Amino acid sequence: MGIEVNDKDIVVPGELLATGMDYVPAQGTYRIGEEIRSKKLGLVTVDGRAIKLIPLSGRYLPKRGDTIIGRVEDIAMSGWRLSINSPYSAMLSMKDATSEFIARGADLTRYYELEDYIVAKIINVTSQKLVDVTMKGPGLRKLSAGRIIEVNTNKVPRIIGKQGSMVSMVKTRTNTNIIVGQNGLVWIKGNDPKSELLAIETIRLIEKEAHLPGLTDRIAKHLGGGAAPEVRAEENMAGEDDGLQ
Amino acid sequence: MNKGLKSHIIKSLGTGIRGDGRSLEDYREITIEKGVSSTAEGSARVKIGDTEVIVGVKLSIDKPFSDRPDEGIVMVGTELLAMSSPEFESGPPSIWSIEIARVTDRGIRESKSIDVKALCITPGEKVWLVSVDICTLNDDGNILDAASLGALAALQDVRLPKVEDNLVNYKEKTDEKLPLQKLPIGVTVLKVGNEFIVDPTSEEEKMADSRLTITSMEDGHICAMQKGGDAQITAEDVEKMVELSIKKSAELRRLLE
Amino acid sequence: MKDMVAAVSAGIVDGSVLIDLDYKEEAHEEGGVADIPVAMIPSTGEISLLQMDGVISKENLKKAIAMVKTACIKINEAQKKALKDKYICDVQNCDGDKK
Repeated sequence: MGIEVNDKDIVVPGELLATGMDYVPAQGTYRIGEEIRSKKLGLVTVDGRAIKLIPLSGRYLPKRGDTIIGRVEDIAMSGWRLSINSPYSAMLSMKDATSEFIARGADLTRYYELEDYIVAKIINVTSQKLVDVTMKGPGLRKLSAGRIIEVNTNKVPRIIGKQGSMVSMVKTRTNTNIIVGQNGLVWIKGNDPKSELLAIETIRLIEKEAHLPGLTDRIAKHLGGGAAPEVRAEENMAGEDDGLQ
Repeated sequence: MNKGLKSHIIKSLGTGIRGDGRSLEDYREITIEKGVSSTAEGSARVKIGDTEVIVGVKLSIDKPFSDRPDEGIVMVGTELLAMSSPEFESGPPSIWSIEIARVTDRGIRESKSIDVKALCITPGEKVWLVSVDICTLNDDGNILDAASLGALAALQDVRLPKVEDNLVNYKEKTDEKLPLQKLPIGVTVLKVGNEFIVDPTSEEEKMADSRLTITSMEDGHICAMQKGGDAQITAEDVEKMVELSIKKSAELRRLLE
Repeated sequence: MKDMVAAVSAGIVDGSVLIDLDYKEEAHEEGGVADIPVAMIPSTGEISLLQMDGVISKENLKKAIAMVKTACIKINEAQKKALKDKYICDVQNCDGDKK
């Protein structure tokens, strides 16, 4: 009876995590009879009596409040449909598109065209996974020149870092502008291709080593320019304490 | 294609550096592995960067075409496997897969790289039929060049099966190779803005205005060409692209020798 | 996903029950022939796919399913290892593994 794995072990779907009734299955795990098993490929965390999983793989599932980068894939009568790197697409309706007034029957391509990338915020996700987004809000805008890469959505919290500390360090030390969408799309713009390349390589490195300790110092070393700046709370995998998801 | 992203890439190309740090004329790392299939008479796996294709060559005995009674037959097919890209779906061959097969076929056929007369067994009745099958495993751009390189490597790898009492015994291979006379190599050059690049990644392929695949032989002669893409190219463009292509194909050919 | 799925084919060759037949064994036509693909959920032992071509006795079928269960547990160990190996690496290995 008891726990069968160690904290921060990597487990696969179906793997036995604990036996007996002492533990409670939390996010990413399930109980079957006397056993608690894993539902996903991820990192086990034991939090008191709760056993939960931080997923290592899997596509983005839209959540209200997330800031994402979407690509316009269709223009409908009253809005734009966006592809958001998820099994589900999102709708941006005319009323949420801009602080300007858009008349009925206006040419919507004046605002956002096919293939445009935009930074938007998810305002609603229905039970049937219909997603609504808005462009009204600070920092929400159409993206212009730059490069777009796709990262593992589960690594986004690590790429952003506590209070944005990781991505800030990358931005400052590579002299680039970076916007990280919760859905795994990342926009990068630098003054020259070399600095963009360094930023992208660094992000890929963070992605690869996200689950290992001491990452911030290794990234600081990789970028050069001295030790990483101090962050107040302890580093951890998902940034659970900093409100980022 | 997204104008903002495209103009950004074109600006970078103007400085001579591409998104992954390469120069405009650099290929990614290329690996060629022969003999990867035990059931095909010849096979090869080619990787260019993350793009990966597998080519298998099967031999069978068939009736020759009536207008070419003393010549063997060569056929090239391409399957763009759905797992190699979110853009590919299973089903009948798409226009793109047919184009890849045709361009690769043209290079092999027009250069007379296989001596088809030597594939004749009994004129008018029996000739060797050489089927080249190209399968994509991963598409990160430049499948055309990977297919051409893979087809040649697989043809080089072929050992003819034994023929006993007019039946092919596929379980036993002889030491006889295919009569290969030339090594035609296809190099695709893309025009992005006013710049020319070779070996595009799929990110770069999306930004290209037009592309020109040129297949050339050892002596520098061209044996096949194929233009693709929506935009037009000028005669000067063609000259530049041909120059670049012949230069790079000599480098690629060394990988097969 | 509540678990992964492992699958293997059992078959009869010359009256013997075998697991994971190769090409020669599958092609062998004398002495009783059966081809039984089975997919199993390793944690519960439940069968999610079962097909049979050929002729087989009840006893041999029981034997085959028992052998399949052992095989699937083995395959599942390999599946688990392959998935985990992708993510577990020493700090040194990760640093040295630059493309």
